[in-house]
Amino acid sequence: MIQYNKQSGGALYDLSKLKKIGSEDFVKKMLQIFIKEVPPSATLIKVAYDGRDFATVKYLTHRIRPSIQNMGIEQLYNEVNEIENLADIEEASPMLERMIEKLETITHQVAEKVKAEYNL
Amino acid sequence: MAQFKIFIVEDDPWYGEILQYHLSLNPDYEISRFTTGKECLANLSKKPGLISIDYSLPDINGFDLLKKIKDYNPDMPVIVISAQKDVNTAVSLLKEGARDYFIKDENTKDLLWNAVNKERERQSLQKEVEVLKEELGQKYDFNKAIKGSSPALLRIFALLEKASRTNINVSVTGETGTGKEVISKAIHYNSERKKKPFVAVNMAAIPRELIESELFGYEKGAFTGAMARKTGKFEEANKGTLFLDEIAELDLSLQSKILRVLQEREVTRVGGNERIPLDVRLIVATHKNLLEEVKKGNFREDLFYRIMGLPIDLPPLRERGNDILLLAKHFLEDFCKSNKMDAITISQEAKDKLMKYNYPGNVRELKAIIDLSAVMCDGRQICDADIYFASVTMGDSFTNEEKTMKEYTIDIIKHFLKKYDNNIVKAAEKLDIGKSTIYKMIQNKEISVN
Repeated sequence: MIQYNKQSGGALYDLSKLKKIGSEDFVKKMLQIFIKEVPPSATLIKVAYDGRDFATVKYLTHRIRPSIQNMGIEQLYNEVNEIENLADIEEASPMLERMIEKLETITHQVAEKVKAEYNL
Repeated sequence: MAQFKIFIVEDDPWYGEILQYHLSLNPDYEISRFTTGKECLANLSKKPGLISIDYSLPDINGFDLLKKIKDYNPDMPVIVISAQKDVNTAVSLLKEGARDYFIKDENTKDLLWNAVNKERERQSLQKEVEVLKEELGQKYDFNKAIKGSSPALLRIFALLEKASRTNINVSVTGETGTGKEVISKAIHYNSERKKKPFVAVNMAAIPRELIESELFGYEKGAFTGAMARKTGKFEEANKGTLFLDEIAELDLSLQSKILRVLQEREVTRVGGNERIPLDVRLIVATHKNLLEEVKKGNFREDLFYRIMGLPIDLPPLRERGNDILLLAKHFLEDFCKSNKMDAITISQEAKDKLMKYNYPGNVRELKAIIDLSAVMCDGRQICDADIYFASVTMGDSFTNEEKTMKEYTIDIIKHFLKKYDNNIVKAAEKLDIGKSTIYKMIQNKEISVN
């Protein structure tokens, strides 16, 4: 249920919250939604940031926040909040850029792990 | 039972799925999910019982979507879910008519679950109220509420029809027990205002010093003991009907205040400044002759003309001929039904006895007589011995004492004068004697008129 990040040693994701909400079928369905929606959204956030489209950065980050939380991706909790806040200021910064890159990397990693673990 | 339809408008498939899954745990819910405001608006004709909308949708913001839903149907309950913790946004949404506002977090699904349950309960209570109102309306259908077919009553039916078709004020007069409140309710429940409140106030039953605050309401702190704002009867009856019984009992200072409310069509609570617009249909009733009260200076003439509207003078039961038996049969059936008794009939002798009595307490008295006779009767038929008259107006004492014919005559004339507020012409007319007979008795100091 808890998958660890090989580099940081921290938990990559923790599905216990999701499992509390519903059945195994429900969890599988949510994982499919995650794979389909979240990594592509993270990539789009990066594209939007590169084009300095902060409104889209904010909107997409806001949209994927519940899935990050329900998937128990703790190492991104702070990042999604901060990306939303910094996008509001509408200023590019190395910190914002780093966080967006992290968001993209981690969400893709989670998607790959989940696919493998649940044969999705 | 029909399923309770819920719309979830959420562009985030993850969050939408969680809400849908959670609510679907109740099999009574039929959930439809939309990802745009446009889709939601296109489906409003399906009449959802509740709509949950995300504040940040791709094509429209939550505020504008809420407005459009309310334009379509102001009663459609909408809950807004948003990640924004801005209090001003929440307040604006609630002011615009949102039923609730939830911040998106881990508890949202449970809050929504509770909100849906509450909404179902509210809607079920509302339906119950509507059914009860409908039943009440049927109960006050003219033919059900008022029994009788005498010419005197048929004239009243014609007036009731006219009264219920318009908003004209109505003044109902009649002896005690003739059914002034029943008539007033029947007018209300047969009028356009039937879905709004019917508020009855008996002026004689409220202490003089409380009438003003009772009628107009008061603000917190308006006087010692005013711990919170109270809505007055005029406000309670807004859009509906206010029935002021025993209007002649109002003192002159309050009469002028009521006149002002009726003229201005707005009311100000005691101790307040806010003027509250009123749309109230007024029905007043009294057992006194209001015109006589005006002549005596007890009632303001301007208020009299303001409230008189359509006058309906209810006939006393003794002038309604066979209605007595019709009503007696109706009351008897009603009594047997409510007491789970077998049907009882009335013997011819009992009918004759009922027809001979004069009913100073009118329909109310007849009902009491019939109820008692149903209790007293041993078989399936009420006989004349089961019928007891115990009128407080004349009473048995009338014949208890042995008096001369002259003394009885004086007693009878005194009784009628008292009954008709010393109106000699009316008393003479009722007794079928010349008015000069009464004047002579006054002149001879056999009778005094105060």
